[in-house]
Amino acid sequence: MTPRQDRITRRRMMQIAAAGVTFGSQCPWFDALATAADDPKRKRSMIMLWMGGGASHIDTFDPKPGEKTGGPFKFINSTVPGIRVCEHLPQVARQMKHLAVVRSMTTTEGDHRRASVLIRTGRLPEELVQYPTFGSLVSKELGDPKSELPNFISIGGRNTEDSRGSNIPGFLGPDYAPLLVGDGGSKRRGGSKDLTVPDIKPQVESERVVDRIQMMDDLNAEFAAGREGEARASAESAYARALRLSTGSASAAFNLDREPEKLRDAYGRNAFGQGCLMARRLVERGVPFVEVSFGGQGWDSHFRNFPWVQENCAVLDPAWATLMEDLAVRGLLETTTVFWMGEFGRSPFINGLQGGGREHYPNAWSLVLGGGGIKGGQAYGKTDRLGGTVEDKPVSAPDLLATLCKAIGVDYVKENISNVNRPISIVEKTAKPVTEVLA
Amino acid sequence: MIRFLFTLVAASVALFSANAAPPDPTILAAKIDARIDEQLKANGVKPAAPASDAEFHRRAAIDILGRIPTVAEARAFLDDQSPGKHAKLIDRLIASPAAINHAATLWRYALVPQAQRVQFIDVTLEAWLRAELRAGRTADRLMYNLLTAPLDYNNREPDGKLRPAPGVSPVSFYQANDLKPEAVASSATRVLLGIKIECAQCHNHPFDKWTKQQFWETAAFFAPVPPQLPDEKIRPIAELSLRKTVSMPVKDKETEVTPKFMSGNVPDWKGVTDTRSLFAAWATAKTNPYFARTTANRIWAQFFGIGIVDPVDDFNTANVPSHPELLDELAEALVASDFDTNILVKAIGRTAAYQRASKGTEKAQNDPRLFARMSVKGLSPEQLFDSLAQATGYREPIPAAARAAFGVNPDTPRGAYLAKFAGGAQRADAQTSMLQALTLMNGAWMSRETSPETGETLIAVANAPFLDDAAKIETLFLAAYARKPTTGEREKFLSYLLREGDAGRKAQLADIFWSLLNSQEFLLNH
Repeated sequence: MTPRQDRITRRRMMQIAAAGVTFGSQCPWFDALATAADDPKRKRSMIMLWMGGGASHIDTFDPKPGEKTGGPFKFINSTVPGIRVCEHLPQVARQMKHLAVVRSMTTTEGDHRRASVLIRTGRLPEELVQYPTFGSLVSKELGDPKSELPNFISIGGRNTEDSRGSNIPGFLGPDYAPLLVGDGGSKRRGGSKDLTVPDIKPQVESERVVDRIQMMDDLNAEFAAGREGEARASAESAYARALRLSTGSASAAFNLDREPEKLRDAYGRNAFGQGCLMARRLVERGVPFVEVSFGGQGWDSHFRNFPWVQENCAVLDPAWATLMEDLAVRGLLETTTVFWMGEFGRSPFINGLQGGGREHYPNAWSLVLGGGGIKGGQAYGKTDRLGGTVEDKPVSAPDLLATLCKAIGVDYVKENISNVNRPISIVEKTAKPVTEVLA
Repeated sequence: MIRFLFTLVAASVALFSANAAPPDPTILAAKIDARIDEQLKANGVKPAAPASDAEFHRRAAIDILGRIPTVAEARAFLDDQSPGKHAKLIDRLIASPAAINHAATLWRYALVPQAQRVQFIDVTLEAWLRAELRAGRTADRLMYNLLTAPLDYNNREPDGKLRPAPGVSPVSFYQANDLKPEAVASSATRVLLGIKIECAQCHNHPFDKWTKQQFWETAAFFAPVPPQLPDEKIRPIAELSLRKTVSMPVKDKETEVTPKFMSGNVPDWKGVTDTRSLFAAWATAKTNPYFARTTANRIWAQFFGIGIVDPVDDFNTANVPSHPELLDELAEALVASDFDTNILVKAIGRTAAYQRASKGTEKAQNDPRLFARMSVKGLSPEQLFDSLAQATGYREPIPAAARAAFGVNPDTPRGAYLAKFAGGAQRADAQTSMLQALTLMNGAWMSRETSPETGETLIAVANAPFLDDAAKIETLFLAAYARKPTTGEREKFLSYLLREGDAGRKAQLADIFWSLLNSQEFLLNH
């Protein structure tokens, strides 16, 4: 047993149990991989918990008790004095030492698509320049092009009208496109069995797969000579990566059956919970950027806001808290930045629809950063009494992305060549990283 | 740049307005080859050998029809011993209805770049383009009609979601530009003139001499583009068609700007009933050197994979054409044919440059701007799916006409494929992604089409009593590659086919077909 494993077992087990995760004394999931975390050269990773639709900041992390905008929820103490969070996020409240709440996000876009493009690329949609999504940019910097697993994996992310243009590799090209896991295209929140990689398994028995690939390779070798060029190189690379995934051992990363039942329960038996568990398995295997999308109807609570948020929190709370704890137990939290965000917040004003709804609100909203590179245990920035305007330390979309780059050691002014042959920096050079939330 | 550009206009007036007879494609082809050869010679590069008949056939079918040839077409072309069969093939392909569908797809790609694409925009715009092309519109009329199209209808449902226009209308082009005069103007100048002025929207152009003032003066021609009303309706354009002012933001305030041509000329409003029509007429005039050049250049890129000016949408002083005289000659031919782009297709199809092999014999041929060998192009998602369907014998259950009216149905294999892969960057479009590779190797539809029980081509080939094993393999090669197998390939695949005797033969035939369809020779246009 390595020292690390020795350290983990007792003390961490107690902590994780205290945090609401309970399982038997047998922990087969500690083996082999736990040592990976000890590698000092270990790359950093990022997990984005994407709250599509836009979650209400006032009902989650920026309470306005007693105000007419405050809503009916109670707020509870977190483990960090002075930071209170929604009563429906009790497990997350216990993770606050790892988390930094940014309460002063302020952006310009109130339409789902434009706002998603802005927060996920740092740029407004343009006609001709196709800006890469943040996951593509990060995976290009941190990923190993030869790795068995793709460097950018998006779990439960759906390509809809509302997200169009926000989850594309843009001018970086298809090598940096996310592998979509569980892209069912359905609006309902799926079960965990939906979390499969489409078309990863060959449809004929394995001996025939070997023959087929052999014949394909022979045909390609014949064709390749004298035909250099971008199109052929791209086909070659795409097939090589697809074959690594569908015939290699890497696909085991997606198999959640190997996880203990109790841990699976702790994450929550739903697509988001199991998606968070899968994210941990992927990060453990060195995937630099994983997105877990909340899925279902998201957070777009124009009506019936309060029951809606409460129901969502019941899914979010165990999944997110268990993820933080699970990463910590495995020594992965120091190298994994976890962040929680949507495309905007929701209006302080409560409309009269079905017991009260909240509208899109980009002017002032919250998001939460945590884990590696982040100085947890703090709330940064401040909104006014009603939660409608940022009073202190405003943070823009580029500021946020620059901060995240700093957290994982990516030089955000580094330039890539765009599809219009103009060098474009990862994040605008004018962005101001929020150094106060960086560890 | 402006001054340079419009001296150019003045100089070309005589050249372009001369009432020349439509050019002869064979003569034009010789001119093209002379220009290409000039540069090859200057660079000391020897061109590649001519393509085989099969390679040429497959390439021309993909470039003109958007799909590979059928087995019967492939066989017929290989067997044809008549002189001039290459030229005859090009002319036959152009006359096919599929050529119009493919041309409509290409125009749509140019008009609505990827990042903005939504299914219904693609579909309704493409349906309109198709109808116009079927009605025989030449490039100038097509663009004129686009820029002056009526726009009066309600485009939103009560839930606020965009809906396609009733009937066939190009209004989705305007919707893709957020119904904003300035966005429509930048799209129009980019597509028609190959000039990107959108960055002059906020400040003067960094490379060229376009000013912010000029940008907004151009945008003012599109002042009639109806804004969204608060009730989510588009106001009937009749009320707005003569509107002539847009507001240019200047620091904290806004200034009213009225239309003026980029050439500096002041428009003459006599008899004009739609402000947009003056820009449309000016941009598509034979005397406007940019429209003919941009259109000719785009056609060239369709066939060679790279423009004479490249990127094709970016004509500027720093972006030098590889063959400037050639571009002028192509533009001139286009003007002389009253913007009938088929003249260029016929000529290009007849050139030695287009008929060259994609396989190079020396490194120097790899420079794509020399056209020493045919460049290997990726297939667009549409080309790839339609070619797979052709090879496997698959027929979409819903006829193309129904598809055109109400959108791609994501429940059909074609709709699902396009919904999944029609995204990303424009040039990267033709690149292969890992997801695409997974879908082609393991996807349900492909598995169905490469199964001897369900794949139409495979069923036919496996069960044909008149085909022996060698003929079966040959048919699969013709279906996928439009060529017959080489002797080596024939022997190798025959021995694979016979490896397990009769029992495994069908499965092995399927394995062979699968490897053909997943190979680069199939996936690429070469």
